[in-house]
Amino acid sequence: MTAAASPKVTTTSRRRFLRGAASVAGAASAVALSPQLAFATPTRPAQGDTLVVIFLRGAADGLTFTPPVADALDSYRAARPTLSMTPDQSLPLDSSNLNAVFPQGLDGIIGLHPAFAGLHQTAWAAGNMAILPAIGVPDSESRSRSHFEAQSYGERGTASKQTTTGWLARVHSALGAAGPVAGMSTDSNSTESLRGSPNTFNITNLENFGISGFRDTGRATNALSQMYQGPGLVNTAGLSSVNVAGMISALNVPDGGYPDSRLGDDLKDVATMIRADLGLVTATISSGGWDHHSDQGDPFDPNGRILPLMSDLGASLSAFYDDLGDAAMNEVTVAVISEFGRTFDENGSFGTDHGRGGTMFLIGGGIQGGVFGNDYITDFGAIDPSGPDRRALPVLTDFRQPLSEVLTTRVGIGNVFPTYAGAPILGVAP
Amino acid sequence: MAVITMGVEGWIDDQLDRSNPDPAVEAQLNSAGYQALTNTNGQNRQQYGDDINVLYRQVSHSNFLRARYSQSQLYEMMCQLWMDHFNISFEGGPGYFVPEYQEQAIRPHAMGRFADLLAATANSGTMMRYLDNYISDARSGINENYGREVLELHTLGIDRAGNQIYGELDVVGAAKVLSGWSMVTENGPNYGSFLYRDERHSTDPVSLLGGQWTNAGLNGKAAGDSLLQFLARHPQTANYVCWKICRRFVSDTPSEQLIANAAQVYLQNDTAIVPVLRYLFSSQEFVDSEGLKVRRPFELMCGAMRSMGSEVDYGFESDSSHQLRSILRRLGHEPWKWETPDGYPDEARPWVNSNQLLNEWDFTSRLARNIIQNNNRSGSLETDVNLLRGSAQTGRDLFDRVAFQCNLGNLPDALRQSLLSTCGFGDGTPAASVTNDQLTELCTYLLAHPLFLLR
Repeated sequence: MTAAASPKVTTTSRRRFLRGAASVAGAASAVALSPQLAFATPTRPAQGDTLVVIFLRGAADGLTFTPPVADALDSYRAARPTLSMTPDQSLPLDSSNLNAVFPQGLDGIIGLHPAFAGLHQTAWAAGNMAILPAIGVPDSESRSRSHFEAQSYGERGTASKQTTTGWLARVHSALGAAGPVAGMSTDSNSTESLRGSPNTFNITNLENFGISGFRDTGRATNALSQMYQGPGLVNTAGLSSVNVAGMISALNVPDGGYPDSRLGDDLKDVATMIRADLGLVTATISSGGWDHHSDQGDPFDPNGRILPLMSDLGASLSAFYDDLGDAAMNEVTVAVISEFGRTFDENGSFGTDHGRGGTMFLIGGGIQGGVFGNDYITDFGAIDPSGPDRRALPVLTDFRQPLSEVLTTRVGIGNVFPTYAGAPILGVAP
Repeated sequence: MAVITMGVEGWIDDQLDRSNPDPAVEAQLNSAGYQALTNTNGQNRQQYGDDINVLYRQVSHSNFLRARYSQSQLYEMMCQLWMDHFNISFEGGPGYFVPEYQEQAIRPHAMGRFADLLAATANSGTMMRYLDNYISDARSGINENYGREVLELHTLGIDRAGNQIYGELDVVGAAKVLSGWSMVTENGPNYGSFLYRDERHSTDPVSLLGGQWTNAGLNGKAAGDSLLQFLARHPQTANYVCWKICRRFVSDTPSEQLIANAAQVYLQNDTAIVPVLRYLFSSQEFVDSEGLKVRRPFELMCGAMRSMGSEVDYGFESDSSHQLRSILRRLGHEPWKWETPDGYPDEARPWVNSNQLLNEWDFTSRLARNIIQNNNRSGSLETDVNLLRGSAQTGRDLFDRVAFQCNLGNLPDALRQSLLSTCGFGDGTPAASVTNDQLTELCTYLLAHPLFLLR
């Protein structure tokens, strides 16, 4: 993967065709393309980018990922006597070489923590990384600071309890995704974002995936196929596990330079599944442990709780980007999201409490590099301490706004977010 | 099986009377040297601080043994329910905080009063540490973590429709009232014991839930005690806690009427848990609920061992202990390894997927085949399917006996004949000529039957 800034995808491709179609239609969330027409290729099932969603559970501190370096700097530093950083400690997010247009005027307001230095040298420099501060579930739907409620909103793509399916499952429906493995989760437990989609598998360790333990695997496969006929959750999951086990257990998982961590292993498995070309449409990975009410540590404290997690995230993402390489990354979009951000001021325990706006990353060959969002705040101190945004960076960009743009131009489907009305295009996936 | 001799109602009555651990199992644990379970936090830190995995093996294997051997099955199920409701995590902080909490905060109150259970968890250094309350200090800035979760997860909750009756300022208020609830941080045998620190306590006036509770006239720790008593007896808590109990024993979606009735019983009995269970088990909805709950991995593993009559060695360093723990790790359901305070999910969807099914089939098959063992370690997990033969005369009898042990009911004739044929015998084959391998193979299939995943 070269680090040089280069124009966006310039080869004639189905991407180019899609972008043309999207810009003609001119709306972010209302384009209904026929996926078959747009994407059918001899070597790949009808689909656009594979979406890889990394959910940082526990509410990651976006202000440590992307600290203010300009307008809000003074109030940020004042609110965090021990947990803040100076502008020269962060990597500059200068996008002047990215050929980007920034109607939102967010260029130069934040920097990037050096835990993401690898990505900064590759994805960011190549114009393939979008960064969105102050993002989350909008006030109009919910101000909840409950982890479990907000994670559920993030996974169903709405705060409405009427919608019980996951947003990634609805991506499968919209595409008519019929590959044997349309969705995968690297969690042990089924993931809510994939709820409602058949052909979705939990693969915690690709190398061990398969039918095992019986006296004779062939006879067992027949017996299982017979027993798991019938309706219902258990039968459906059992039969599809039997059907796909042989296919997946034959895959070779190369080492690939990933960190020796759960997240590194998970991304390695996802990369292997993408290369296997089985029609993977979505993959979801959980990264836990981001709820740093205490001992968060200053942003460079190796004994703090946030730096090791952030370093692992940065190194794992960087390895994934390098492992897949330019060609494959042109067909992959990675989204790194969390349920909400944390308080902009630190508490008395060298930690931060539940906040609102957090930081999102989007990475991929079809992503327009830059800092995006509807607005930012210039003075944290002006936030009413007893008001609804109490101690928190507000949500200024709906998390579905950039995701909708990705779905429109990179996946070729319409709106899968039932309570999202659409918003002006940010330009993250032109 | 006691249920056969007593009948279902008799068995339930018997279980409701057993509101304590099975003394025989506890005595065996004691003589097998489960020191961590009787130590305080401070003693465990001193004894196991550098060898935390030895401590965890005691925690993990004691859970398996109690579930496998205890005659107080309902009591053990309630312990598991409250372990999730008041979750703490071995991973989230020093593991030596786990045993005292399990043994002293949760288990003594599992079939007692919810108000006492809530108070025991709050008066625990472990909970104060896990949710950061031990460093909450009104002088430097309170920590909101415990104040939030005590409302959201332990008491009032957020209901099935997503409604909550408290707001952000109630969270802050609860955190203020409970500030000062801490633990001993000085080294020594008392390390990690609960300690109230008045100098850290906020004396700001607090009014919660629109004035339903205030700290007016209450000083120091008494304010927090009063708040917890109020919360335990709040109708919303009754509803939330009874929903958890109904969901455990009836279905993922118990009726709102059943929950409301159970909540009435809870309030009328001053938060006593046994009357709620007695009401629940007498309800038609419970009677009709067989097969509506998916067994979570721990339950499935213990169920398979009970069905097969597998013998588990009591040693926490035995091969049994090592093998069971590593299998449960792959299934993502080890005791106290869920990192967040909401506890392991208790509904079907999170547990029914390819990772679970493939690993569960692998476990139950190897269990029946008696090949879960590492010959370098003693005390292996032992299963002898020949014990299931009983007085079976024919292949059909053998099938029926195994299916009964696995609680599968009457399976279709065609499936039975096909499975028997796959195993190399038939309905009419004399039982004596069915080989051990053939019987074992039959057990592997019936343990993998979809109905075995349900309870």
